Amino acid sequence: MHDILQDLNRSVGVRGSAVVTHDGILVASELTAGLDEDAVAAMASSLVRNTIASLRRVGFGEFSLFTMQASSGKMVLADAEVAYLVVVTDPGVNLDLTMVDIAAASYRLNKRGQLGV
Amino acid sequence: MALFGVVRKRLLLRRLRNRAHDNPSPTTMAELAETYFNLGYAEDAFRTLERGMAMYPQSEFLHSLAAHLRRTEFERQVRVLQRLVEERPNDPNAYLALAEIYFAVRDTNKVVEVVTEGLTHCPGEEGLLLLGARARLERCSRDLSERDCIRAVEELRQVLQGNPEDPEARRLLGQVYYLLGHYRAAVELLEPYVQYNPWDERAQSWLAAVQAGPGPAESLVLEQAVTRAFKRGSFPVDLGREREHSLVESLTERPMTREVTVGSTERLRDALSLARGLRAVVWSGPKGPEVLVQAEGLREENVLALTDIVSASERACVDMDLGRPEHALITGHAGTVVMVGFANGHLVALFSPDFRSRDAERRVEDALREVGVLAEETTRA
Repeated sequence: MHDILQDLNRSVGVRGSAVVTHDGILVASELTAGLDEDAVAAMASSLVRNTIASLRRVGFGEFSLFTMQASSGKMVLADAEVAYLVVVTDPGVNLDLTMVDIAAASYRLNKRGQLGV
Repeated sequence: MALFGVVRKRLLLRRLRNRAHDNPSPTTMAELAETYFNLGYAEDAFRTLERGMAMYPQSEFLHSLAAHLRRTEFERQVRVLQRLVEERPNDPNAYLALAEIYFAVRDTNKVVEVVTEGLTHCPGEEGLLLLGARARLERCSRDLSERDCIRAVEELRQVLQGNPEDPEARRLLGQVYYLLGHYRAAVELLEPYVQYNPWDERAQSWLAAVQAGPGPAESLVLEQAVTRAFKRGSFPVDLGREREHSLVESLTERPMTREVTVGSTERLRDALSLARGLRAVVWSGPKGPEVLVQAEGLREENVLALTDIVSASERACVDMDLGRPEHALITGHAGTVVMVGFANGHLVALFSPDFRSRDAERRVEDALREVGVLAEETTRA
């Protein structure tokens, strides 16, 4: 699984990626020096859990893609069926292009069934 | 053999120099510059290109060659310094040199990355702390990233703990305080600095701006972040407890002169309610969440729970050093959620699944423009 994340991190502007289960448990991460693993784990877990809980209350269920643009970066949470793929990028990245790599990584994660969770 | 190589290089350079001199053109200048560069004489290459660009300012070829060679030289220097860091992982100067080269091209993310790594090997190193703070200050001014401001304060305080009179740290801390909107503390730091460094025009302009009053970086979120940070005591504070307390008070009581209002929520409600497929809209502002649109079958408390996504996103962005969430799109089998951030709150809209996500975004933007929220450039957070 780490090789998939490492491949994804080679895409332009990607600062790090991680795999988090639907109930918010960090499975794997490949992060650059500026990103703290504990912070990513806590953040991803909290964001996934809170978002799913809020969406369920309005009958939405689980989400397939969550893209967020913030003042200093962008974040993508993509559903890889067995878990969510979390990707953090630089602010100037064109997500439309990076999304192809993210989709490919999600597909590979899901297909390989390497999660063991 | 080596001597032969040197002679060949010199002959080649002499021939190209003569050609560029006798028959100057963008091509001959470019050839000479490229040869200099390939032989390892980068400075001569750039000097030749500068001369060429001065002679032929319209030559796109020379400009693009200059950009390409600058980039190549930058990458070469980065590789050299990265090797140096690998060979001497406990040498702060290696990290400093690498971080400085990134700082020169304003790649502040890389600067912070290198400085962070350097500080793990050389904790408390003054040069790294200062450069890290300068990079964070740039990001803070550019992106209004409260996390960067707070980290810059922490790093500068660390420098001042070791050397309370460090002029650079005092000046930078004054600037961060200005961005955080704490003018009194900024003046206290900048005034003595300017007095002893009257030639520093940049610091003088900062002081003038501080004395003039509220600055461009003022925002509710920034102030809240600082207030929270001071309240939880995350700053390694060297100020007395009394001043720390007054700082919290001054931040929380000062009127939010830069607060942006979304305008009439009624008009927004009207504009959005016409959108096909819209299920719910919530405005999460300083006065708390407010349901603007609610489709039949949805309960108000459930619609209000959509604002939990906003608070989870804000927390995530702070934890990840991403600044402030400005825009988000959530898609799923059951619909689309669009979140738009403003200086004083967030708007969350829920659309049914028959509405494509791009159309949902466009519909929200149209509605915001319709009620004048997006008319002013400064209105978007």
